[in-house]
Amino acid sequence: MGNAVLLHHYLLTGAGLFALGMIGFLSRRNLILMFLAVEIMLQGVSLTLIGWGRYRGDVDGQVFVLFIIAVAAAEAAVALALVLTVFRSGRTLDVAWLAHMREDTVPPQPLPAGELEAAPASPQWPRLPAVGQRPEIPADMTEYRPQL
Amino acid sequence: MVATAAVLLGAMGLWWLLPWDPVRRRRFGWLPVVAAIGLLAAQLKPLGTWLDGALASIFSLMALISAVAAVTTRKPLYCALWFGMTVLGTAGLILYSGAQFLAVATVVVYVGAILVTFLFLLMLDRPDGGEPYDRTSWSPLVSSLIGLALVGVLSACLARTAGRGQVWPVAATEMHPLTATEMPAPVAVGMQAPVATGEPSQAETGRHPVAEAPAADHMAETPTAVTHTADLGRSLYIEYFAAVQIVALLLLAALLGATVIIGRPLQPLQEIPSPPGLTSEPRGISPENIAQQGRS
Repeated sequence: MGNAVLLHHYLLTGAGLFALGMIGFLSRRNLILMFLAVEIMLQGVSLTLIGWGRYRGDVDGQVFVLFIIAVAAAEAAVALALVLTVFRSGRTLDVAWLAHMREDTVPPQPLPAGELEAAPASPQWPRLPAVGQRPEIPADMTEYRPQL
Repeated sequence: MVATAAVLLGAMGLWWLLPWDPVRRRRFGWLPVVAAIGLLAAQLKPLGTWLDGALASIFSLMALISAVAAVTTRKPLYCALWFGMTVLGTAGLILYSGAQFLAVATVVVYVGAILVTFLFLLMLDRPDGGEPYDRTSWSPLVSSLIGLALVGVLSACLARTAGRGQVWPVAATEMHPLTATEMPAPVAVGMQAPVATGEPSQAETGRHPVAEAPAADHMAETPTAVTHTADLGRSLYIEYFAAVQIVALLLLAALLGATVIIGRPLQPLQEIPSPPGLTSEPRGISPENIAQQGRS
């Protein structure tokens, strides 16, 4: 039954994509990377629906995937507008920073211990001095090399 | 047993690949990840001829490996590009299953529209991964264990169902698998004939019996004629017509919403006291923050 084998293949790949997107959504801290992880999860769901549609032999799975694409486009438009607004106001995309957004009348919530570990800073490597400095040309050199 | 080993290997590799300690060779995490994918793929039965299996495996590997890279890379720019590779692999699998229109629509919408918008937004921040929050993760070990446990449970269910020799019941009873002999609806075949042959001259030369016979044979042995674009369109605009209208309204609402959200005058956030222990300060809000960034 070649179709069952193909369905098995598609379901396994879809499950892998869904789980990878979930791992990314759970563990990453960049807001845009979290949205990309959600899109990867949507890809996994689309593959599952396509596999079932192929197995059943009708086009219902394809119609569902088309709706998923439309909803993903709408979601990306609204979500990226929100992300852009957040970025313009805070200059950061860190969800750990966004988690402590509050209104004016609400006192800042105390953090539970150990919720936020300190982010490791960028490693500071020794740096070479910058090259490409503009050369200082003596004035008498321009007499016999006028192209300078 | 194999599934458990694959889950443990994959979780270990993903935990090592995720960014949580910058001074570390992260690329060694690829070995357990690839081993886990291989172990999971070893449970699959061979798919038809070797060319069929090779095509499907290549597309699946492309999608999965680039998804791993997109999730675990430190640089947001590369994350977006690897996500594009994931979409291409998925589109290949969709095309392999006979859904031509959806494959093209996936590439156009995801890579052409969504990914470009993501790239545009990524250019606002530092796309090279220099931010502190790109160099750390929320509990990478627990999240990768949870994700791979999901894969393990699902693959174990699939292996049990397939190993019992019992095919999923929906195909055995009422639905028909996609074969050429069981293809119903002569109306559909008649409507697809000019599309499938691709030449309107076939219709003109249809009176000639010699020219008609190869066209009929070609139609009879096309196995993906049921999932053809014409059938998708017919189903979309007859059965799901109300849903299509609702999706159109949804897209319009999303467009208006995005315009309203972006077009408002911006009120800058003021005086958000950053909690202690959170080192990734927001940049450029107050002079204290700027001075602190300059010092560190």
